[in-house]
Amino acid sequence: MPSLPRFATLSCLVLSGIAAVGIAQRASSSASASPATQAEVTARLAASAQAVLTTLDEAGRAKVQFPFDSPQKTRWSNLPSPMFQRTGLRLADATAAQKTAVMALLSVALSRDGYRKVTEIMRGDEMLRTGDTSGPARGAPNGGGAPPDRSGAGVAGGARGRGRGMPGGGGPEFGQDQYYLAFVGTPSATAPWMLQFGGHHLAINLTLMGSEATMAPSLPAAQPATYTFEGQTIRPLGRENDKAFGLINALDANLQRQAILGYRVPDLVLGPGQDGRSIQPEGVKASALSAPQQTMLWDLVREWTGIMNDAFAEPRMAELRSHLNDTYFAWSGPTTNGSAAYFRVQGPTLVIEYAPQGTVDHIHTIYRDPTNDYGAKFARR
Amino acid sequence: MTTERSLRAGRTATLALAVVATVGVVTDVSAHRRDEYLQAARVGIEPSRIEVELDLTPGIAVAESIIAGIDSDRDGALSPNETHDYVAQVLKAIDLRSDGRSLRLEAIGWDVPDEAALRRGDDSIRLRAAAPLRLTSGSHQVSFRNSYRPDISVYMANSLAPDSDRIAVGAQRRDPEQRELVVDYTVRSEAFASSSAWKFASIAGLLLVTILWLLRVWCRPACPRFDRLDPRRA
Repeated sequence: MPSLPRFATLSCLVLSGIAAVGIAQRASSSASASPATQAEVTARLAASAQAVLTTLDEAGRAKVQFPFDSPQKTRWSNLPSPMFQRTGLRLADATAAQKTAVMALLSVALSRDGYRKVTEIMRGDEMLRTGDTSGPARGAPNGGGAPPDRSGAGVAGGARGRGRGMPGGGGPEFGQDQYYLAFVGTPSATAPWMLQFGGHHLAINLTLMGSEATMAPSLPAAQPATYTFEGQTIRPLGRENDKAFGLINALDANLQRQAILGYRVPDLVLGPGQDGRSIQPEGVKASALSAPQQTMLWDLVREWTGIMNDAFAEPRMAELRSHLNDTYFAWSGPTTNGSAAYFRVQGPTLVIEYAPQGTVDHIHTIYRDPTNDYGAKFARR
Repeated sequence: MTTERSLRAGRTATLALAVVATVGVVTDVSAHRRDEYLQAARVGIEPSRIEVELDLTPGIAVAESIIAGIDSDRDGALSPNETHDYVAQVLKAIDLRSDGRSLRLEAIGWDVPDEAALRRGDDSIRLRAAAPLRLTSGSHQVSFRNSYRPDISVYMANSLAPDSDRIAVGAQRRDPEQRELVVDYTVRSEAFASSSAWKFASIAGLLLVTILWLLRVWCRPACPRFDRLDPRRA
């Protein structure tokens, strides 16, 4: 027979159910991979960062370390130095042992493919330095489609010295040695800190807090976008380009009409210096795409999220997929591969832009999480 | 014989050669934007105003022309008065309208880098301007048109995602060169604007309905209060 205690129990069950749904929804947005694995990678990263620090003297450590809340966090650019003044440990000033430690650190922070991408971008800049289209001097960072040299010894013998520049020596410096490492905060397995690695056409900003990590904002770019190294054609951002053209051409006329913007986009909208801004999304909704097209879209997105270690990339992809209904794909330009076309993937926690700089041989891209750039979300918890 | 004029001519030629060499070397090795003036605008719709952010980035080959437009006394330095005048000049070329009615944009802040940075093409003039607007609930349209230096410029114009829950941006239309942006938007009445209040009210309402329904289903036969209220049992 129904009674007041029974009613109270039932009410509690209903409320518990509502709470459980809320908790489950929150959990589904954050992880599917084992947190232990992520924590383990963070611990390895902190150890690798400490290994870099032990190769430096006191002055060197002071140069490479910055407080977590310092302005250094947001100091990055696509421009070459010294057009943009970078601080930290410059590879050109590093000893062989220091370079080895830096590259070993990157090999932990990045996925296999992320490491390849980063070293190919650096090698591309070496092409700008030498003007050599057949490949840089021996001792360039390994990668180029081949498995990364986890020892990092590849950069130890890299070309040194000032790159080509303006008269008077104040001009841009190019080359694979013109990249800088900095730690914002103290490398730790639990406390928040950030690994910054960047130079011309490259900014990797990896913020870690225990088992969580974000690579937003980061800027992988390329010039030349295609070059030859040891007889192989290298395209640092070639897969991004090809997958995007594959997707736009997989859409039917109706979906293409929704995706293609009727105007020219000459540059990144949310590039360097645009932290904290969020633009109104445009293009075709991901939920309007067929299942195979959605797979192509996530495969394209993975080219950016997958730069960081797989342990961090997997939960990030799971979170992005949960925002399918609010994710958009937009395109500007011709749809024939080989043309210069801009595209953008945007969701509540994602902005990816790919912007050719007037030519297919000079590409800028950006990866952002408007809710978690520099780990803002982690800091709020 | 070397005259002052020939010396000046020589210096000018040297400077010109240096600039040409600089441009040549830089563009040879890195094709960053050099012969265009990139004007990136962002239009923000707020409950009490329309805000426009504008980033102006001169390429290395057009920087001199931009600097000349700012440095009106040709003394080689960009004074506060000169930058103020330049900002006014830029804003004058912007046409901002709400539902077809022209709005007056007032500068609320700007940052002009030094000449050297502008010459190198590695920094931007940043300015913010706003036009007061009292938003009423319903559908509206804001249009933005930038006509500043079309001879050398490329444009971008985007609507910022609104911070206010009261405002929902709809369709955006642009001309192919992005000089013009038209944004449709809707303003909700203030009473229902706060999403947290709205969500709380919805959840509270849902819970109340659930509780009443449960009371009706389980308590009705046993509850004397209900019995008393039932006229058939009176």
